[in-house]
Amino acid sequence: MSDTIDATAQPATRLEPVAALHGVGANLRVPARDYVRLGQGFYFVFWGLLVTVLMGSQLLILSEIPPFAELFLGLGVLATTVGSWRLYQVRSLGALWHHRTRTALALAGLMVYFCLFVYLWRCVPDNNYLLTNVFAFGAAGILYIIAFNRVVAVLAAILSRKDMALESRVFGTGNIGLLLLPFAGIIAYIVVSAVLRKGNLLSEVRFVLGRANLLVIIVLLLPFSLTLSLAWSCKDAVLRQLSNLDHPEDYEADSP
Amino acid sequence: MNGYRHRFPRYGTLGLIILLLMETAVFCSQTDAFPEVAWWQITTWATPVCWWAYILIVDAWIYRRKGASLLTDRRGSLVIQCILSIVFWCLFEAYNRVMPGWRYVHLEQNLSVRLLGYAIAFATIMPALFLTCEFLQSHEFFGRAWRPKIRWGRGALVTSVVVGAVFVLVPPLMPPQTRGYLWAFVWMGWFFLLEPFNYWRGLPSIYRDWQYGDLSRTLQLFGAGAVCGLLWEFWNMWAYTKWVYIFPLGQNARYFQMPLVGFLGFLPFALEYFTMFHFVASFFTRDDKLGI
Repeated sequence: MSDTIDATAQPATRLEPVAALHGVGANLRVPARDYVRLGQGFYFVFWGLLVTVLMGSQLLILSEIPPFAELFLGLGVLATTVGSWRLYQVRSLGALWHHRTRTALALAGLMVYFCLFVYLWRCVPDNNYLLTNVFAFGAAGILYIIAFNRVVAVLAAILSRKDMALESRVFGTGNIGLLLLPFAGIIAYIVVSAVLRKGNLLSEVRFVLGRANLLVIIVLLLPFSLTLSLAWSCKDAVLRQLSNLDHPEDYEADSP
Repeated sequence: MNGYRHRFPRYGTLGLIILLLMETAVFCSQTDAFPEVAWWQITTWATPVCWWAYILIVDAWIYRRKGASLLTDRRGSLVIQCILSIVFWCLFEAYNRVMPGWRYVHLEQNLSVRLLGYAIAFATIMPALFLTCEFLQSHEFFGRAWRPKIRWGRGALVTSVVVGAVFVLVPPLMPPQTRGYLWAFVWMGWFFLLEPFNYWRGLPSIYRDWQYGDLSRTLQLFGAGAVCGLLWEFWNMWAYTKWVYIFPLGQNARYFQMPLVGFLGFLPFALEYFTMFHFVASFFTRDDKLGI
């Protein structure tokens, strides 16, 4: 049994060359400014995603929320984008890191863009064009979560953190299975239903939301919360590395 | 020495031929010439066809003048401009759903074809504006427009961001009957919101131009907005598939189908697209992709 677990716990093989390439082993050897960028990046992504998910869920379910509530959604998305940008600015972690953070940044940019449609949609909720773009906002958010897990996988490989690498892979798979596929299915159902019944999209969305029970919502939100915990543990890992530079003896005592 | 050192490229000639053919079709549709021909099926595509022809012609002219142009040397930039042009215009279409300013008539019934038509038409906006600006630059229009220098303090730039945010976020929250009057704020808001970030990040910036007392690029973009605005309305007037303005301001005095007061919106619109392009493109490349 333990053999199975150990085998599963191995980081993705294609990630290992990154660590070898940079020769960092278990330590993160990056310029001081990159420590700051990493710490800030994960911190902003954590809080940004948290606010975005909370406000996004509220706005979707409760249509009578006052208009200024969208501003919090905007702040959350902006914070996520700032965090992604700070991670993208870290250039000392290799080409794979650069590539994946660029993907995450592009998706965060898409979230900002489609967030404006959410804002406008709340003024005219029954407009199909705006509602379609709100779906795109949701899709961009889910793809961002998946991309973020792939960013974490690179960091885990560089740090030789097998636990983090495993989490990033499991959570990434969970995001695809529990978020992306159900989301795509629900959107397809809504669009097909609207076309067949010749109704508008909003009434179909309300119909679907009306049938969703708490358990389903919790299961759907689970991958979000797991990814948030991953973002926080990444921030902690970076800060611990920084602390290790200043006080190596404390780090030795803290390390598992 | 007449300033034209290079041959006129063939794609420019092709653009001229396409434009003349489409104008002929539009003329025939308006005069009932050859009634057995369904001219409306051709003039349905008048706007995108005329604008792509315009892009070919102006680019060829720029090449003849400078020996380098968007289509000959910077095709990657053209692709980026087309994509961002669609992306940005979709945003303004979203505003249009909330604060109606125009609507389209005689649209294609087939959704796929209609979406393709939207994409082809929207993709021309940014290249047309920037090529016209480059054309004006190549002829040194407004090349020596200077004014007293503006010194940008942090407070002024932060104020610009706040004002821009208010301009783009508040109009949709106004009562529905007043939203139509507030388009001017949307046409200026993105400029005020994003321009300070371009300035801070060392990107091509209108604010930096003003800091040096250089108004030439600003006026050239205004000129590009005015030229494109005139042509947008001119080619839209007799097209079968077209837009009509429904915003409540100044509907009596019109230029073709556009209320004259709305024409003023084309000037800041050019600046806005310039700022938006550099803001977004800078996240993925530090090169100056426009060259204007």
